[in-house]
Amino acid sequence: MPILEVKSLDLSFGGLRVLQQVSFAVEARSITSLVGPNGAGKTSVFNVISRLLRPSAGEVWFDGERIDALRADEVARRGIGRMFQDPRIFAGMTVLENALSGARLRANHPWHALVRDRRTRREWREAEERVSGILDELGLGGKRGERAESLSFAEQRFLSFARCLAGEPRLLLLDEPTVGLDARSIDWLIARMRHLVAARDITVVLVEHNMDVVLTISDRVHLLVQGEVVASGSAAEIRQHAKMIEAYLGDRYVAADS
Amino acid sequence: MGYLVTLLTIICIYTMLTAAMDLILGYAGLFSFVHAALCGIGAYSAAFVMLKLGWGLVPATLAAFAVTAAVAQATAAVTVRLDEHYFILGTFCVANVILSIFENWTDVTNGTSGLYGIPVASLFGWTIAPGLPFLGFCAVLTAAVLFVKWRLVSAPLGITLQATREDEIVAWVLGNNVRQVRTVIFVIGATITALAGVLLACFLRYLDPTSFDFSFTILIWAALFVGGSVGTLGTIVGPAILVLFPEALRFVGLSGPHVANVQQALYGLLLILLMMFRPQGFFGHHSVR
Amino acid sequence: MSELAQLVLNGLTNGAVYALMAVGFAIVFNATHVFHLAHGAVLTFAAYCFYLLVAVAGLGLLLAVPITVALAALFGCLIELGIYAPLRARGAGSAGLMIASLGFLALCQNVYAIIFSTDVLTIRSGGLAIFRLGALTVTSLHIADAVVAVIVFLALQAFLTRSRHGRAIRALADNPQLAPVIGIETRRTYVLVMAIGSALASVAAVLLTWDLGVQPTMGFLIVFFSAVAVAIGGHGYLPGALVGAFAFGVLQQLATWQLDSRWQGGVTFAAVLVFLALRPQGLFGARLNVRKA
Repeated sequence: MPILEVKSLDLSFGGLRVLQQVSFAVEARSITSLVGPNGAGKTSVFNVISRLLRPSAGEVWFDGERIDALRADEVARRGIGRMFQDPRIFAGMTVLENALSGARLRANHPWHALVRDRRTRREWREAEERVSGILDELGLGGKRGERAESLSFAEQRFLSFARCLAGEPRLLLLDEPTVGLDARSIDWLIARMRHLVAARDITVVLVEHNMDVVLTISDRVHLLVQGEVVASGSAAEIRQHAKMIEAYLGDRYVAADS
Repeated sequence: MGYLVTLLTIICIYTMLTAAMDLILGYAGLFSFVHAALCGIGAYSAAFVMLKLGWGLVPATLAAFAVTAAVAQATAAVTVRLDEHYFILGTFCVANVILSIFENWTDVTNGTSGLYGIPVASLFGWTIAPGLPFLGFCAVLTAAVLFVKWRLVSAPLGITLQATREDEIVAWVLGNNVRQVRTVIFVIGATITALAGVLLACFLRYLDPTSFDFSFTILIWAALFVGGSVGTLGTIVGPAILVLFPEALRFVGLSGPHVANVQQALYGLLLILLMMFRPQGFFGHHSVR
Repeated sequence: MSELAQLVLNGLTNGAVYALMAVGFAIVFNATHVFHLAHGAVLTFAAYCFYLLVAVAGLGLLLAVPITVALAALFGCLIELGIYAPLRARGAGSAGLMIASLGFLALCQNVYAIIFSTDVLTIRSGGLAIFRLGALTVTSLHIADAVVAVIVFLALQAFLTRSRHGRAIRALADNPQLAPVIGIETRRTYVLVMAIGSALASVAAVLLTWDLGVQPTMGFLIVFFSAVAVAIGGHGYLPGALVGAFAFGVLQQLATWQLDSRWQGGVTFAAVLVFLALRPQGLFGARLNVRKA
């Protein structure tokens, strides 16, 4: 059974139809890519799944449960993690604090913050260890105590990735994770993603423009054009399809971001 | 000596108010303009219980907590959904309603004539004498408040609060019910403010509505920004500076009918200068940006 | 019923004055994203200027009004150049600007109190000319409010739609990042926006001072009234600020209908809160619930 199913999503903004009957399914422990020109609606799909936007019609199912009517935090707590196009790290906090902000803990509740019983303290210690481990894996361990705004762009990217992982998600929505990264960082990120899927049982959905990355890593690809899923298939199949569309319609696709 | 005791007592009470403001504004980023009015609710509730019902400090404080928390809960329910500017407006509207009640519900508050003769604080029949004993009492409570604040703002709740301030959408997506977090911290801050109000009522033994108007909220903001938001030392230093500075002025001989206006003008100027040259205050960890 | 109609009339004419302030506030806010509470300081400044020019210097209205408007516009430019621009240069965000603006409002209010005392200073000693329209009592001030508001807003509308500077202001409000790219000088436009907003405030100041006189705290109250009007109308929509101001004015008057007038403030703001609870985006605002990543 697919872990994520999107069924006939419609989304309109002030008269503009952003998504039309978007449907696709994502198998567990797979890597799926959403590709398409700018303005095709790829980020909007993510926004609907994360419940930052409400679709005008359609359903979203995660792990056998319908989630399109839940609050954004409820969706996140069910195990859906989200990375944005901009790193959006918390500039004033340290790297460790940023990463920890993704962890969901008992001690977040004011009562437990005040009265720290043993369970709360233990959970907190374990979270700190786990998150430090994640930072180490991503090469940020040494910068634990530094203010996040002093990091380079690539490091901030990785930090937002670490923050995402701190919540122990089962599904990762990554919005253009490789943009602005150099080749080495991209390779590294790809390796990490593969490792996550294999070792931690995570499913990944990417929005990507970098076709090399898409070809290398994806089990399945969906092509979105102007809010509709135009084609679905293996990476190679879609590449053919995308080339045809580009050749036919040219660069008229550079529209406003979705 | 008695003068010094008075000053220190005021500093304690203001520290409590600033601590609450730091929770609400510094950590959670909520620009609350209703702070002074909530303090007033605590003060008038306690005064009513002690004066008109004749009960002691504990029931008075509980009453103050209950009423203020209820009002804060209602306020948050309406305003927390609004973005930062409209939050200010929402709390401004609430403050006006509350001030109107202070002025006009004369059965309880005596309106603009002022509420006189609030009894000396008595705890389970033991009177806390004004002066040094009362200062000691305030100091203990202030320390307790600072402890509570410290527990609330150390990780991970402190991280969550600051996350909701820095980037609300990311905070949602990380699994936080931002609305609920803001409501809870607002109510907690309001309860601390109510406690300060109770102490004010016992200290001044007299209340009138103009004590809780907007210039008081601006004073607390100034105290917070001087000391620095997001920090413990700042919540003591800020009020200390703001209380001692006008006294220093008086020492130098600046007095007369316009003293209050000079003070408040300087608070306004202070806010401008702080934003311009030292937005993080003297000891804060976070610049209001 | 005629009492109700009278209240509505009073509310609309008060609303006209609030509208001048609210539109000024909204223009500044939309274009510069500063929660310009110092707008109230400009109002009070203009009010005292007008008072001094008319009651002390004895100038006629024909001279006093333009001078007041010019001085207020200048004052607004000084605020932009002396406070907001340097703050922005130091990296202050909207919160820092708002706090500084509030600080300036508090500073000015108390400086005025020191210079002029907290008493209300009035200009006219007699009553107003009164006309009867059926059962309604219409004062000359009512008419002045209405006429002035109509003229000013028509002029503003023409300016914003037809003139190059007006279009620059609208471009800046609609798309702050794109505006410099298409050649709009942001800093100069900010100064212009402040000048216009302050000019609008000064017109309100003249009307208010003629009606009620001037006191140091008037700016504080009225700037918050105008911010509330903008909230009622809906964020980012200029005509909304107008409608919101009239709505607020009428609401204020209706709050005294069949209720003890001492509760006017409380009832008015309670009603505003109920409105904001039910419709946080205002009458015309975009849905605030739709959060975009």
